[in-house]
Amino acid sequence: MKGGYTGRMLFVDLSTGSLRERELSEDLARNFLGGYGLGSRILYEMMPGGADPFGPDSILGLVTGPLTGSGAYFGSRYIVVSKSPVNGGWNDANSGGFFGRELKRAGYDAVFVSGVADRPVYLWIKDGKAEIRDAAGLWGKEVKETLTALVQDTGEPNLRAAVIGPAGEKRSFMAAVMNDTYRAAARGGSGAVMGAKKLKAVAVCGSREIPVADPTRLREINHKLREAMESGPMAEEIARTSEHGTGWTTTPSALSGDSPVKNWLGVGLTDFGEEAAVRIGSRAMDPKYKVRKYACANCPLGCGAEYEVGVGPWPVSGAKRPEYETAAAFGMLLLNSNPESIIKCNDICNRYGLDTISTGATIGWAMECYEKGLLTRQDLDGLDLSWGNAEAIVALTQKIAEQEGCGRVLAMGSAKAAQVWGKGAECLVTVEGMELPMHDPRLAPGWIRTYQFDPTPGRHVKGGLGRMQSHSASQDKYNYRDTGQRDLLATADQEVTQCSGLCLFVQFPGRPEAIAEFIEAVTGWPFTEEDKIATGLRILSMGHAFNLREGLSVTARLAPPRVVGKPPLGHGPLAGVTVDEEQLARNFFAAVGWEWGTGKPSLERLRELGGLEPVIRDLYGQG
Amino acid sequence: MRVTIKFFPGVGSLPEGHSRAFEVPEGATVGQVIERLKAEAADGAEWPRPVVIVNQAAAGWDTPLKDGDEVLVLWPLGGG
Repeated sequence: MKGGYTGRMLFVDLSTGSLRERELSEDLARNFLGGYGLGSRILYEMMPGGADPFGPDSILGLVTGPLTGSGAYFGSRYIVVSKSPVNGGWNDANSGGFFGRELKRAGYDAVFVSGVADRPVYLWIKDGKAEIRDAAGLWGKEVKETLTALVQDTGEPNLRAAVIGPAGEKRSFMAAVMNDTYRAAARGGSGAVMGAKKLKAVAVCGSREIPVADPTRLREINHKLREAMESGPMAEEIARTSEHGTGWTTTPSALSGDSPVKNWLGVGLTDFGEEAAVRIGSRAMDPKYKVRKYACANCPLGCGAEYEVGVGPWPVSGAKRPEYETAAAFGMLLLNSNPESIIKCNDICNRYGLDTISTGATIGWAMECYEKGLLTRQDLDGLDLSWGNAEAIVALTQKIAEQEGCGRVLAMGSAKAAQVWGKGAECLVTVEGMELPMHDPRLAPGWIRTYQFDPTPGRHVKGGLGRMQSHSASQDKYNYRDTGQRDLLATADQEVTQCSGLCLFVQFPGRPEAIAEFIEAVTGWPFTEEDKIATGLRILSMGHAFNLREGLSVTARLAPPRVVGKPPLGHGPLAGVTVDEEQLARNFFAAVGWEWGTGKPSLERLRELGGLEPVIRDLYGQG
Repeated sequence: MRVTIKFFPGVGSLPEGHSRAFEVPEGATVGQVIERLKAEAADGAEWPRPVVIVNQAAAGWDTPLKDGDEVLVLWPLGGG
């Protein structure tokens, strides 16, 4: 291959201690790019259907894309893939930072780990040499301490690592894989899968150059993207995001109806209010708490920042500024307007390695149960879980992180907690057990199709019509006719963006053609708009096929009624809105060629896309 | 007639939460008022089409305004 790939994948079996390499063929790379495209293809091939996510047959993958670390702006991402313990289906979660680039510099496009170690271990990869090392001394450590200990153990100060915290060790269904201190591949319980393998960390260090087919063209594309960032139609938003991160959107999102409020039962304007919405936005928080800003590898934007809280009940140092999703999940969703409590909850989740969306949403579920008398102080270790009680929210987050008292049950997520306690099912806001992110389909109906029918349920980073509808004044978004093809195109675009190793913010400057241009320049392959659509659909089909093989009744994934306005809100900007989620789904299924009712992809479409022979064999008995 | 407009976040020279009351002709629409503000600001900032709320209810570009209306102009960002 001319560029973008090391051409090598590492396969590790922790049960036997074996390590072996496999060449990444050009065919596989061209068909599935990388990330969860390549990851789902490999897991489909190597992991038996019905495998226990925590058992030895389960495979965890850390997979880069061709643009990761290539020098392409926004090309920093890697994706953790596995079977999810939450729903028993396909799972992927992506993260930025520097780990993905360093993995490639160390010699591998991807690492796949099967088996279960008989004691805690970590994987150490340096310049193409990999070894399994003892991690007994690391087990139990928080994320930052783990990274420090890895540097000491290897003697390599420049290593990068993907690690789990105590939450992953204890197999919380909300456990994340963390890298570069506080970057998180958070959703779907990937940290729990890593913990079940007794794999504390994958540490990497390398000095190999990542090949680029056409470096001159790559520089030109970067230059055009930079120009668009500085003087294009989104220049002001980009500058604001560079300074304040995604947290600036907390304020307008709380007021517009984009953010769910009070476990999706409230109205931001009236139940939360303007003053609170401003208070927990990063434009108000930055002057008080921001210490410095930081960026991921190859990022010209830099949306991260370090926070410090010196006084008050929750002093923290070296904390990360809460992202929008985190601020909304611990803020509006819980009617909590105390910014320092949100910073503290974010810090607890980062230190223990927890998904902030699912943790906040699980507390939201518990708060509604408490209000309705379904859960009492006795159930909650004496906590008064009234809406907006910041002290109780912080205390419960700590309990979930440590799995102490009621936190043991809540660490498994809201759906599992409702099952264990035998109550509160009517207060759940989940799709197939997965808590939903912080964008309301009543404002932007397209989100619900993504939340229900992406191979990974409940994701805000997956493709569909929601993103563009969230900031649109047009009422046409409530017209449910003919959405299928637009939904398909937006979805395919997102699949390619993510699996190539790009951050979604590459879409921000308004140069959508940059994604295909980057792929061409780095890999040296022609990559047309048609290639992009076909590749995106092929990737989507692979994750979908994984779910079908697991026997998931994909089309039976139900939308939580309140999320689609059943019943509709009585007041506020989204009053009276009921979303026709079934029509949106039917349109999408028809466009992508999935049979309504079974979800089975049509043979014709699978053949047309190519590269899906194992799926055709399993679904149609032919190769 | 007189209406009040607030911006979240601010745009160009208009800061976040900036509340401004001003006279508009009878029958003016949301879109006309925003276009006028944009022209007055004249600071070169781009104004993507925002989400608009009038008196705590959803409104569109063509929504007519009446005396005393409060208009929220919001630029949420899908995703993040």
